[in-house]
Amino acid sequence: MRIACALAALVLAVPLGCGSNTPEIPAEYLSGSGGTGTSQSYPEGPYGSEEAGTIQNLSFSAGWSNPKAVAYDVDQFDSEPIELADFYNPDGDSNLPEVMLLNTAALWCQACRIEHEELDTKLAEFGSRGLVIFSTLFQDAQSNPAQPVHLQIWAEQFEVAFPFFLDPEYQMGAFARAETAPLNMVIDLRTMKILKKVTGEGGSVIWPLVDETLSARGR
Amino acid sequence: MNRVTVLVWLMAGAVVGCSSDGGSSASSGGTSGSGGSGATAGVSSGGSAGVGGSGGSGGAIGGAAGASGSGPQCAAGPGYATNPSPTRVDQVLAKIVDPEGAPAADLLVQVCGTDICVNGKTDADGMVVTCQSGGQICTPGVNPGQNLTHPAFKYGSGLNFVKFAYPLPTNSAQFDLGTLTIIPLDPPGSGQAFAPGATVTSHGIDLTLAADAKVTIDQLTYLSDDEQQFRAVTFDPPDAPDAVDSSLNLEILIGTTPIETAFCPPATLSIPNTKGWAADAEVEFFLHGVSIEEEWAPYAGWAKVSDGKVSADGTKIVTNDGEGIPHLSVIGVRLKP
Repeated sequence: MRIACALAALVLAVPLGCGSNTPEIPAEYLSGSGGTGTSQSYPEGPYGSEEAGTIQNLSFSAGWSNPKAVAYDVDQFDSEPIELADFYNPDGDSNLPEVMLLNTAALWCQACRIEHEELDTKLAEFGSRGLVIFSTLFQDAQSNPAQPVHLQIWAEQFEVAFPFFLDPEYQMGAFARAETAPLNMVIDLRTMKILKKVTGEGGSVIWPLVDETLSARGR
Repeated sequence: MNRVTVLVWLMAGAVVGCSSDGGSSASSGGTSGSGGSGATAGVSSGGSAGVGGSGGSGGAIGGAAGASGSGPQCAAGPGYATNPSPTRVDQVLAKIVDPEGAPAADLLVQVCGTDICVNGKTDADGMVVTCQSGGQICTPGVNPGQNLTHPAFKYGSGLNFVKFAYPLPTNSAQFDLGTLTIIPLDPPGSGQAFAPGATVTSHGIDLTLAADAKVTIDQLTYLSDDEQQFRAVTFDPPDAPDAVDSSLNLEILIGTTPIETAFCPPATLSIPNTKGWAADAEVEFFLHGVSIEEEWAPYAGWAKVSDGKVSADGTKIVTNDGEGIPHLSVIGVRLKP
């Protein structure tokens, strides 16, 4: 159900409501170690944080799989945590995404704002070919952990139409320092390997890579 | 480009053409979320001015909230974006003090290029540091350790202190900026809320909005009503020597907030004639660019946004009719050369 809800909304661009829980973050997802990946299979470790490494199965509890579909309502956060395993596509199912842009943002980061202004355009360009964008918001304008209201304001402002979750304990710190943003990683969803990791706006590198990777797979 | 999202339209009015202070807008295609299609004036909360996009979304949302008609139409700013080569920045050291020379502690500081931002803070001695482990372990300086495009040192959040962006030279990767003075603002909650057709005042600095004005506030930075109030302070250039372009010979500086608040049409600014300039003397108003979107001023630089003159009685300095302040930041004033 979880996978069907998330991916159908993303790949098929069908606005679905995926739950209605209030935004309370379970303690097990504030450990900084990610989720357990129990929703489906996931590549075995060892896991890495650099290019060519396999990314661990991170899990995020507070946010939306499809923010636009629930009008950015914080009372309609997903009822279940989202995991990277939800996007794992080992068989290259053409109905599912094969490449993910995993992105971080913070309210203090102007470069993140600029970047988010164009993500919807890039999703429109590459989404139907198999790209999914997954973004996490980790700090507010004063570098404090981001709260649901910040996620909502950001999502509304940039009309975020892809999975967008809070990362108040900065699990993404496994890949980049919290004082640095944005972070962008291109993930191969067939293998969950990090194809590219860029600290900073990296459009000139990222989008050609996404295009090339999808093209190589006939998408 | 998506930006303005929450619009509260307050008044109806006529379409207004707002000049863009000349210059090409080719590099700054965003329109600041202008162009409402519903009621026409009001205060909105959105992002900072757009760059390279296809126009803000404020108009459409305004239309949904309003009844009919068209909102004020303002052209995008001139746009100052360039595409310089990235330069290496390893470390930036500085000490931040208040105007009395006391260390300014626990302030957010940043080294930001147009492509990436790296945070730091000040410690109890006002020294810029980078802290880990919940602030328990701090090392000197902000330490990007990588290439940045158009790097600048940003200090003052715009909440309690005036915000500056000091351009970092490109001939070094190590910077010691010495001691920088920070300019306090009155605290959030002590200012005045913007309203079309009304004047907001802070320390004798008056900002008057047209009856059909549309105001766009950066809600990502200024969340509460208190934070979204107009606050301003006058200070002299020697208090901010590093971030002020000395070649401009600016003689009066006005720190304002909420930073990046956009006005359509531009707001009329009136400030006390603290320099005793002659009545009717012509002046120029410059804006400091702290935004990487660079719509109204180059990032970490300055650009002229309006002409003005000293009032006939010599007490005030006022922007000219039909011009004004399109965007809040630090404003500099000088006699027209």
